[in-house]
Amino acid sequence: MSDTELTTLEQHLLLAIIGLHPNAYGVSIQDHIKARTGREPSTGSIYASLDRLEEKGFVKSRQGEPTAERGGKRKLYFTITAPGHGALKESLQAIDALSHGLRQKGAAV
Amino acid sequence: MKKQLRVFHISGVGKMFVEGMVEGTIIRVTDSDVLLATNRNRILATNWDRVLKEHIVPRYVVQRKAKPTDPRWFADFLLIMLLKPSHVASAIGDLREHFDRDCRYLGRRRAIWLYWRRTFDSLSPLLRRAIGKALRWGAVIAAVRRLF
Repeated sequence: MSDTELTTLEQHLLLAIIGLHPNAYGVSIQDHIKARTGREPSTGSIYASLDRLEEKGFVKSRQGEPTAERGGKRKLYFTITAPGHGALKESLQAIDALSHGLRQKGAAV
Repeated sequence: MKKQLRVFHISGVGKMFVEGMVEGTIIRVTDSDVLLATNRNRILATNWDRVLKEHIVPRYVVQRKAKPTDPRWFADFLLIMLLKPSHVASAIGDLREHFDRDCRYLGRRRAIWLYWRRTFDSLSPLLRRAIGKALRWGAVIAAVRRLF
């Protein structure tokens, strides 16, 4: 997979980060995705993907405040970067183009 | 003065350790009724007849017994081994936040079970990522060795 290609989970994460801005952190991202797709990605898969996106420079993180309900652990808020926006746009356009081609053939999409 | 705990043996519930001074703990006892509630307002016993016996123990006895049932330390250890250092505190905090929420709505026992399930669900993607990184570094090292 090239550096600008995104997996489905990465697309979901980037869309959730945009939708939740500026309060996108682990739990809120998980809840957001679950509410909209019906599937709850595990904490591990979220952080593994965010690690990959951070490496590619598509998201950046900043530390938040620690709270008692989190056992005094700090939140890590994520925001999307300009290259992240570009990659997401490209990825969604590719899906759109592919499904448009199917629609022209009369397939139910 | 040594801190003490009141132990209630409640039928159908088991042992309940109650420390009067714990923040948010409610203990209300009347002639016919006993109400024990945790700080999550989950009522554990409401009928005095169900309290079979009651005694007081020093606090350290309970602390020593309570430790192995804490689900967190080993789960934390597993995550620390696999997560990126800058993500460790945040990921563990996320699991704690879920645990706190589950405790409130589902009870502690189910919350512990869910805590472990979430932890194990998290391990395979993190393990895959760690192995992928290790293989990548291995390939880079092998390439450098071939060159020199």
